[in-house]
Amino acid sequence: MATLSSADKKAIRATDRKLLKKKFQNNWDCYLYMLPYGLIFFLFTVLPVLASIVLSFTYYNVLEAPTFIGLDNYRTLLASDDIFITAVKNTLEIAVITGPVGYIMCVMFSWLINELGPKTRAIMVTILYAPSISGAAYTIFGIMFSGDSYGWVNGTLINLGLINEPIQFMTDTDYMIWICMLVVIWMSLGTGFLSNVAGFRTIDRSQYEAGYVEGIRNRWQELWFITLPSMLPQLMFAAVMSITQSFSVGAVTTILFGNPSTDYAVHTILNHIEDYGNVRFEMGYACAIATVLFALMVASNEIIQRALRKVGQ
Amino acid sequence: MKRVFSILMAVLISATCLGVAVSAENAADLVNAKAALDGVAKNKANTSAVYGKVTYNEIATYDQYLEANSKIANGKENVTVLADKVTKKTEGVKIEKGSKYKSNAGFNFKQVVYTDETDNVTFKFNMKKDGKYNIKVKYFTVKGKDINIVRDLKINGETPYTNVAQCTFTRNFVDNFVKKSDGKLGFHQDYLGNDIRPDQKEVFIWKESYINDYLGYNNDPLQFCFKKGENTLTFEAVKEPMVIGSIEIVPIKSVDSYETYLSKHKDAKKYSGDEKIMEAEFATDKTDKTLYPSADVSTASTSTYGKNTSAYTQSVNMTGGTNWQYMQQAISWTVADDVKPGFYSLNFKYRQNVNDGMRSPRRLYINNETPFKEAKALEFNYTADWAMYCPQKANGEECLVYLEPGYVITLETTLSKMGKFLQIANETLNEINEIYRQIIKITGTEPDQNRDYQLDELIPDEVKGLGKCAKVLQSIVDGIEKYTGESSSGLSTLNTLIRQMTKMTNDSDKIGKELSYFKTNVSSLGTWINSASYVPLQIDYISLSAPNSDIKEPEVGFFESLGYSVNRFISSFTVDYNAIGNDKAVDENDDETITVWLATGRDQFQIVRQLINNTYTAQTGYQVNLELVNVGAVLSAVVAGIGPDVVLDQATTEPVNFALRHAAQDLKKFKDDKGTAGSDWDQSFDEVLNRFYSETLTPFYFDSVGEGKEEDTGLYALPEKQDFQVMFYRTDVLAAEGIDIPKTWGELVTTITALNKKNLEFGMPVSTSLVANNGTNVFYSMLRQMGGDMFVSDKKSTDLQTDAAIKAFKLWTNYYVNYDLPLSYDFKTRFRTGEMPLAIDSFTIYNTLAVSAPEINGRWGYTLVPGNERTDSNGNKYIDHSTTVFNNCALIISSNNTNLDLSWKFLKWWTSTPTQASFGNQIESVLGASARYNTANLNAFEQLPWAAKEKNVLNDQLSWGKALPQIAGSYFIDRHINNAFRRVVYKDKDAKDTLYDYAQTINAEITKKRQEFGLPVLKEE
Repeated sequence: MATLSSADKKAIRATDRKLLKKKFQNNWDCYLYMLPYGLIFFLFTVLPVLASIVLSFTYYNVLEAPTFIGLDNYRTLLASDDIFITAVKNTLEIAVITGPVGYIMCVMFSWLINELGPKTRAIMVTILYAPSISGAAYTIFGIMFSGDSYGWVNGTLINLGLINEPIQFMTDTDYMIWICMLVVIWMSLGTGFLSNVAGFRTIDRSQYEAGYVEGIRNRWQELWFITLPSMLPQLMFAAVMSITQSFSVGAVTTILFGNPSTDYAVHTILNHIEDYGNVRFEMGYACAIATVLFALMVASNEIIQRALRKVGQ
Repeated sequence: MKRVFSILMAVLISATCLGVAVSAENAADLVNAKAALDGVAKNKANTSAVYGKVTYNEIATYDQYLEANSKIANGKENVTVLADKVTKKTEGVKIEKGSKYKSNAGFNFKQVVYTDETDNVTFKFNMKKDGKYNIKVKYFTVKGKDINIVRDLKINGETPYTNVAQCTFTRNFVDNFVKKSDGKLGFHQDYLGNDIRPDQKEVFIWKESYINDYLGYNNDPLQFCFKKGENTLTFEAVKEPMVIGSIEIVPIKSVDSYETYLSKHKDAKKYSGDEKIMEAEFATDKTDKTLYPSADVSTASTSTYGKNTSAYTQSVNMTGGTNWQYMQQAISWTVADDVKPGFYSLNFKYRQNVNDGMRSPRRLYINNETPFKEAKALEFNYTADWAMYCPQKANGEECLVYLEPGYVITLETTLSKMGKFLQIANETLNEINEIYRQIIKITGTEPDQNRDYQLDELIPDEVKGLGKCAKVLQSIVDGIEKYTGESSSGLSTLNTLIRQMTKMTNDSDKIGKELSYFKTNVSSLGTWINSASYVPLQIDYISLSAPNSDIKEPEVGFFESLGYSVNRFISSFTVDYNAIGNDKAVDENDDETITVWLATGRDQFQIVRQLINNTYTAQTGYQVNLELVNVGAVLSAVVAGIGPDVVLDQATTEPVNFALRHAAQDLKKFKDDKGTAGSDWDQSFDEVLNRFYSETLTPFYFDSVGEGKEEDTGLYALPEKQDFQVMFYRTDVLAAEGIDIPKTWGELVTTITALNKKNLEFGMPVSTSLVANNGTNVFYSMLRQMGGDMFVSDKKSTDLQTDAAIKAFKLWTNYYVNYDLPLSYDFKTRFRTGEMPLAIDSFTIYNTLAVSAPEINGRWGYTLVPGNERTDSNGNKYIDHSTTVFNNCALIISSNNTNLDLSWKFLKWWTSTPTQASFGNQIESVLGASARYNTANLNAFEQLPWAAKEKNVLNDQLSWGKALPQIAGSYFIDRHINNAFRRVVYKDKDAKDTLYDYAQTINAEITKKRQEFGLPVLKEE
């Protein structure tokens, strides 16, 4: 193989630069359009992420300047932090159960709704989507599952004669994780669901006719071979949302079970970050946790994306 | 991918910006040394707390009293009882010369009777015949705590009926107007041109008042029966001092009819000139300091004195509102000099947009007399916008009013016809609660659905009683609908309850099933009675016009209204709300201007702003840049280097958090500060510390070296508010069931058993997922009572492996494991219904109960928390009632502080007695009695309007107060003690082992935190 002389390399680099410049000159308006969001994205997303990665190698108590401590935070986190292992376990448990259930619900509900008439559809979408936009709507579960003997669930169970004394749903470790999952699933019909509903509407009707000619025999085949493949982008989007949602469960547990919850029974990675960042003020360590969570999310996202490409094959 | 990024980023932002709460560290045992400094005298032997047997006598209602005495005719005598008729008196009562108290016209007494806030005084007098009378009292208001004077009245040694338990005598307040350049009175304005709400100034005068129903249920003066011969009349003080000039026994008063009124002024002409407007914001006087004029910015149609309504500045332009909704509150206006004598059409421009479907009646007085029957209740209806109303007959015909210059027009709150309905509803509610308690005695609070309790055989009267109550309530609903002419949303609550009670009485098998729902409905009946007895009303102006002429429309046109709204919207972007109230623009760069942050509400902010202007800046000349911020903002601002110099109202955990990271100022730097001689707030360092109960400083000490030596220990904050637990009890329920109030935890066990037998409950706070220290405070109290402590003396580890700690922990968990105390409950509701007649809770609940549960007035009280019997060093036995006290605090931020000395000066001013007392009084006048300020300044606390007896119990309990020290890693305490509690109570684990395990976990974290901050740690054994 012929090696390039340094002069050649220089020439190539110069051409590259020229090309880039040319490209930029041709598309300058596109860059201009991107600028406002690009700036915000860089300032408030890229920069903090980088900062957090850098801080994860330091000891930082928030009020005093950070000091570099190398991999200490990661060593402690992965080797000797029992609570972190609990948090990962809880997060994965919640993600593995609520993620797929939420996602399947998301697809199924949007498909079912798609079959309805336009007016009923609008109403149903509003009803199902409402919980996820109305902020802390899940606090209603705090009232439902109140440990008071007059709480809704406890009251009903006592009235039915199933229990004799109220169950402390919010503080008894036997029940907490299940309640948490229930709430997360209830909340899961979010943006992904909405994009799916829209996705169903964009499918070209003629495809179905073509499908019948080609020998589609029932609605399931229609769903699997035509509907789902044609809305792959929306499905992808919903999947990403579903993953991030189930990994970032945190506010729900804080509001309903307190942070930290009894014996860390529903302590998630996000709660762990809050605990270290806001309660103990070990921001460097909190950043290390955040970085690990970030890596976890990216990895599981990759896996899901690959799995989804198999739809319709 | 962007999504993932932004999620991570959200995590980071929240992690960086949110609040603080960390570790803390406390000084050595300063506590003992400081006890000597303690300002409060601890007189533990002489407690005013209540224990043991309680008695409660059911007192007749007014109706029962009148019925029992229906044969006695109305009397005709006029008897005046003067100071020389005093027969019995307590220590503080003084017979003084009348000349000592400035006399206004018509009040000349040779001798007067002075009674203090705890005094009783009895008068004796003779009547010639049996008869019914009204009682009129002439009294002088003396300096007290600015609240109504309250007396319990007894006739011949007995309380005649319930309505006299709190006879109320009002005071007299005026606005502190400023004289404007044009010679007229007006409001003080800040440099932006906003009107500042005038201070309320009390004027001490002689007043004359009939004894009225303090609840407002009866609109006419109350009637009393006196027998032939000698009678006595006793005033027992409940609140405030009072000087009594005379007590007059007068024949029952009747008000003239309108026709008689007209004939009395036969010669007067009808006015025929232009309409005259009296702006309501310029009141002559009022009975309550909460009746200040205020700024209405909601609409352009609110009339403003002599200037145009501007959307950019606030004008004080009306009076009343939800502050003017309680009984006995009156506002007066004086007719101006340029008004010609004659008959006027008197119209009020009013608004009542709070109680939908209800009325806010007012009684009209002209020169302290109700002129005619129709004026006894002006029925102001619900209206969303300003409207006009004049005195009128039932058929709508207007009643004219004769006025002359100098005449005083007064409007006083009244319930009109609602009074009777509410009284009956209240009595019915008590009856229903009694029936409810009888039912749960048999069924328990959680009845078995499948069991027939045969209630119709066991308690037939009560079951029938439900039906009777339902009928009574039905008649009330019908009556109210007829009175207001519409069905308000509140009445649906009553209808539901009526339907349910009818069902329960007809089919007693259903009672068990309906019970919990029934309780909710009963509780909402209580809430309804409470809200229906509020009669809020706003008055914009009073119009005096020629009869049958046109008057100014209360509304403005659509376009003017629209323009105003648009301007208001724009103004919300341009107006600097932090600057409102400043006399001149604050120069933030001035070295002598400090920045103070306040994280409470806008009402609090405005009061602090005004206090700063009126006293701090006025006396020192230093400016303060006061800013209202979000609690969470303090930390991030300090990190960013734009933090304040002083922060107010911080949680008890904060000072040590900031101190550990070298961001809080050690106040001991100022320990040589001598203050200014003669100043009531600029005191020396020691005097400043003496303002507080010494224990409350404990959480703010922090030892920066970590060996527990006093010289290393700094003080990083001063307490502002304090809170601790007391034990509430229902007198009537406990007396009826013969249950004693326990003095110790041992006695409590007996009490709980007795309560459980009757299916009643005892309440002890439990930590919830949101409030983590509810339960641990109880544990800490017990721990200190047992002689244990949370930490070892050098604070290097917990001290939870001692016998005392294990004993306390077992005691605490045992109540839940063996005696089944409820783990979650709503104290206020259960206390009202009486199913939880005894409970431990924060003393601040007192205010809420006093305001929102009038049906149990006089049926409850509070006392010290149960204690533990101990033996002191001399071998004497005593009961230790220790309770956990915790504080909010104010601290100086040292990083980028512009002026430490001035920050300290400000802190001294803010925590001083005059400042804290005025703040407490003003916040109560703005937000009402339920917002009573629980200041940590002991002298200021004395000046807040607590009734004397109640305050004594609080002082007793406070003298037992113990504060939890704060250390590095404090957050682990509540967390793991709660975990230990739950493991023992839910999972039946062994108490000793569990506590031991968690103590280890906490110790490990303390050691870790101490290493982090380079403090010496516990040596491994």
